[in-house]
Amino acid sequence: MARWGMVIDLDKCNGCQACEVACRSENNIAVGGPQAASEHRTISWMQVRAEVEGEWPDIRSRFVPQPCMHCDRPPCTLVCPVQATSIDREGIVNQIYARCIGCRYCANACPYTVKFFNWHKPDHPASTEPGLNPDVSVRPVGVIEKCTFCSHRLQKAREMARVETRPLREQDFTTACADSCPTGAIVFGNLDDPTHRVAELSRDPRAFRLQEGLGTEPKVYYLSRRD
Amino acid sequence: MNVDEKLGPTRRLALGALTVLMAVAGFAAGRVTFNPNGAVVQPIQFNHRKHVKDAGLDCSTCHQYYADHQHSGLPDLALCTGCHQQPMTKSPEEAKLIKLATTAAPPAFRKLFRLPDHAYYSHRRHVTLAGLPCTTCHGAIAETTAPPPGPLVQVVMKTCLDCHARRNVPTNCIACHR
Ligand code: HEC
Ligand code: HEC
Ligand code: HEC
Ligand code: HEC
Ligand code: HEC
Repeated sequence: MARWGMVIDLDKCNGCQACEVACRSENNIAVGGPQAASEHRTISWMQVRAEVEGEWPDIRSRFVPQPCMHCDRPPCTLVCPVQATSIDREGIVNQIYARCIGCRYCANACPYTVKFFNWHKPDHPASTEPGLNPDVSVRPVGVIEKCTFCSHRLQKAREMARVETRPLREQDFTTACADSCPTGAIVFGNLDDPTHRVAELSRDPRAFRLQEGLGTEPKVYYLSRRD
Repeated sequence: MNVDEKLGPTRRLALGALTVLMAVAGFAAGRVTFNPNGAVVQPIQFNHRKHVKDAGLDCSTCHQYYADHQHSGLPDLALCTGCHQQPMTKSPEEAKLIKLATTAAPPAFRKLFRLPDHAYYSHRRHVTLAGLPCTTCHGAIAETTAPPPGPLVQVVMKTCLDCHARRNVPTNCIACHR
């Protein structure tokens, strides 16, 4: 059984934010507009964060694209009172919107702050409505949402593999952010399959994970030559 | 003159209650007249039995996509007039069909079975790969002589899960939810 994970090479990331845009359109993420922005309630499943160290002009900066870490020991699932979020058998931390009661415990439990609450009725400008992805539901107001590792793509990829009576291949299932990255900094695949690139890269000497000390065991690895 | 002075509290309450009652009655009457039980109204009184049982047509003649797509699809009137260009019967519905099909924007058949957008279901998976007959989920639609006003079988999550459990098919949430 697969254990889906991601490797993000910070030495290759140039902060272009193509991943953010690809994620938004793939996953029908609401356009919050000025109101949500002023309330700090913009939803962004993938966020390129800029880290700056030191004082100008002696600064060191880098970009850190941050999706849901899909922890092997997720703190968010433990606090959900209705099991609307749980870790799937293949390691994807899911969020079942129909089940979510909007208590926001999980958003508070997440040390990576990558779970978002729909404070407003999702707003998609009329001109973008025909472009909504039919494979992803539009979330209602009052539920939590988050990066799904594009699990809707897995649904279709599985079916395609069955139709062609072959096992799922590495190229069959990848995320929108990995697809869109122009420098190939984002790689997605099965961490437990030695033939997948992520399996090798996650064992790279440059590899580390965010806030490893918490014991959440994220399945998103970062590569960086710097500490 | 003040209205409050004219009407005592009991009469005001009665008047208020009457207004609400009439509003509710009016709304209900409107619903029943124009759309009883929220029924789906189709542009043509289509007869499945005549086409499937009597004319021996395959389901895929009109529902063209179930074998290799997620959705089955409903026919548009242009598909009907492939056979019904000239009247074959004396049926007034057929005459209506031929007339409607030539209008600038012909009306479309409306969907009865509908899952919420957060559930993924694929016909190819169930019809082609699992070999399930249409009747499992759609009941005796092939026997209908007029469009049913709603789904003949209620397909809910339990329907899906019960069969999956029986047949040892995945029941993890994100197999279906999205
Ligand atoms: C492959 C050919 C074919 C197609 C396609 C087809 N029909 Fe028919 N239809 C027939 C035949 C054959 C009859 C039966 C004629 C008879 O009874 O002699 C019939 C009869 C009818 C009648 C009159 C009989 C009745 O009592 O209802 C209507 C109305 C009708 N069809 C509507 C439609 C509509 C609507 C469509 C499109 C969704 C359609 N048909 C598509 C072949 C077809
Ligand atoms: C000649 C065209 C034609 C054929 C052949 C045909 N259908 Fe239909 N079907 C229709 C039309 C038109 C509708 C919409 C009107 C209605 O509900 O009767 C429809 C509706 C349906 C619906 C309801 C779908 C929804 O949710 O709106 C189902 C299910 C269905 N058909 C199943 C079948 C099956 C199973 C067969 C084969 C045994 C079949 N049909 C053969 C034309 C056809
Ligand atoms: C395992 C259950 C199942 C089986 C078997 C099944 N269907 Fe469906 N069908 C559904 C569900 C669920 C929907 C509603 C899908 C949606 O709204 O996304 C549906 C929708 C439809 C529709 C409405 C139009 C559409 O594309 O959504 C038609 C027509 C239809 N089915 C025809 C068929 C025919 C013909 C067969 C047999 C060849 C069949 N179905 C077999 C479950 C089933
Ligand atoms: C009568 C039995 C039956 C019913 C009812 C049924 N399924 Fe299935 N389903 C199956 C079978 C059998 C398979 C495996 C098909 C194959 O061999 O690929 C399957 C496979 C699936 C898969 C792929 C699972 C995976 O990850 O491999 C999904 C998704 C699915 N069904 C969704 C649904 C939904 C949604 C419904 C309810 C609307 C439903 N099914 C109702 C029998 C059923
Ligand atoms: C085999 C497919 C399938 C699986 C697996 C599945 N669901 Fe569903 N679920 C559906 C379908 C189809 C619907 C929509 C029909 C309905 O409302 O019953 C649905 C609806 C729901 C609803 C809304 C019910 C309502 O009344 O509005 C909730 C909540 C839900 N699912 C939670 C879950 C959770 C949690 C899991 C995992 C433990 C899960 N589902 C697994 C198919 C599935």
